[in-house]
Amino acid sequence: MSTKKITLLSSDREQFIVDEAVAIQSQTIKNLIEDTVPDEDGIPLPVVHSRILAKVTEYLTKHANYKPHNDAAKEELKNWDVKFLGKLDNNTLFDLILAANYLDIKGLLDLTCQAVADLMKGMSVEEVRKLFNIENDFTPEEEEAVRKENQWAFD
Amino acid sequence: MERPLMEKRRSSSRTSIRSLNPDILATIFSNLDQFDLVRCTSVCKSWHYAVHRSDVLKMKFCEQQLDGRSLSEASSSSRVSLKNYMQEWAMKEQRLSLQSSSVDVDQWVGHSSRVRQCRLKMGLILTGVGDKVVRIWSLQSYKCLEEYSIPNVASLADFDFDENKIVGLLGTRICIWKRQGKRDIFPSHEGTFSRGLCMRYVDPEAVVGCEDGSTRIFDMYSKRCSQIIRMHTGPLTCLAVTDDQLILCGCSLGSIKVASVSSDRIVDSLTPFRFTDYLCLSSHLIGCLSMVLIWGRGRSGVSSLCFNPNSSLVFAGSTAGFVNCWDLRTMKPLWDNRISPNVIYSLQHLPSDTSSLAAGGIDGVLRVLDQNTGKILSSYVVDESTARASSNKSHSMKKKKAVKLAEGTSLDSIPKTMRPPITCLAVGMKKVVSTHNSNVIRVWKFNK
Repeated sequence: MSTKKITLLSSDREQFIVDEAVAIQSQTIKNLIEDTVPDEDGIPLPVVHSRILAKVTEYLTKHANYKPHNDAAKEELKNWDVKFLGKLDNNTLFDLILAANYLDIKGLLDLTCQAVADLMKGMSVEEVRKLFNIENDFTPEEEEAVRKENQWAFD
Repeated sequence: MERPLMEKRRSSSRTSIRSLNPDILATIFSNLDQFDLVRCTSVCKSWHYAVHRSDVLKMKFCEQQLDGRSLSEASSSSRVSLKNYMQEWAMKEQRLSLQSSSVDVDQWVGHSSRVRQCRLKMGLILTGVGDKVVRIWSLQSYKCLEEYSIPNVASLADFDFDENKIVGLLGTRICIWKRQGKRDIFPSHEGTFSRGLCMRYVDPEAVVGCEDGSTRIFDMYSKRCSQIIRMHTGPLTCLAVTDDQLILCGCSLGSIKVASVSSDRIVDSLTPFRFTDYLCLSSHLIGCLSMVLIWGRGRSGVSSLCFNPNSSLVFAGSTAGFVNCWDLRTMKPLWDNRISPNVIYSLQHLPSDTSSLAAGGIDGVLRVLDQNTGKILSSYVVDESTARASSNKSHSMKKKKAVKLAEGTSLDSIPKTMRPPITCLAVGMKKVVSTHNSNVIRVWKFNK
């Protein structure tokens, strides 16, 4: 494993120094390393705030250093993921999804998307709207039509 | 260098689910089961778009249905067939779940006196008939959401509801409660017609089946009786109305007659399969979308009726425990089965289900029948020994388990306390709501 260090630069210009092996789990970062001449301060990630990049590197570091070989290790990593998610509020969760999407980190994107899906499991439409503060922009007629289309899902 | 986008956004408003593009939304949705996914389509327009534009929905519903066909074959199908896939999938789920051996029963005291009837629509339960109030409950939380009082002078005989109103039959008058609005009763005087026993409506008309054997059709907006059809000398006990204006009716004397609204008279007679010499009704009468009434001339009265618009099958329960089925297109009987020694009060199915039929009656056993053969698929009673009080103490909520009866179980071997008479059923997805002429409401939840 290479011990070459990579410096990542958040949108608010905070530096994060990580092992290359950690950083290149992000396909986007991997491409940036290969294709561009780095900024002298580090690789700029203009859409990821330091608050979020700290979370991303925490996740990447754990997952780079921890390649599970058996069920017990896999279980341990899963538990770590659960704890990692447990500390996040919804807004941070959405920020992380955006960052994982931009940085192209499949594991993190899957994990965070699953977490959002888990939040709304078994909820009624009204509860989902309330949970995510979503405005109902259907007209009453449109909403009735959409619901009637698959009435079985609502009874 | 570009200044931080994230910071700008953070200072104005925090990142929310609205920040996610349709592709990310689709990734989230791919983790949901079919029920949650379909509900997501009605959260807001962008979610509806995100679900439908991606293949998430297609994948979710096709993987169970493929049975060896390739995915590309399935993905090339249009949205119409996706809808069919979804429906087919859902009804298969329904059929499987209604035969599950793991059934939870939630029960609560819903009224201060006895209630005989319940309805279920769009996640709401309507209960009443027998009490001085009708109540609307959330199927999810069992919270009472709305309550409407019945005027002191009359008692409620039958009712039904929709998004905007509840329509009730009060002896010789019809009462319309606007949801969250005012009450309207007509005709202005009582006694303008013989006492009504059953009522169904399809906007704008309400149809009342009366004690003197006549049906009266009211226009709910002009509040006028637009038609009277004299059907029989015996009381009409049950009615079914279809969206395309077909009306089916049962009588306590048990005979089945067929009438057409356009010709305003009885046009034919029909008897159950069990009894010989039934007559076929010429099918053009049905084709003209006139009103049709079916009566049975059996040895027992018709106690419940149910019409399935998707298959055009009519199901009738009798006071002697028979369930009969006819095809309304041909007027021919398809099957009959004596499922109980006593009265069948209720036959119900999910609106789009052409497979399973729930039946309940005086013997208190909840049975699920095959709509196409009449075969009993499963039978349940409640195991009282499993009762435990729920944390929800607001209306004496109790949680119990149902027992699935083995085929051929003798009714006498089951104590009556485990099977209070079922006076009405309402069927939802993997759920059945029941009333028992007591003050409790039960929700049977069928697990996988």
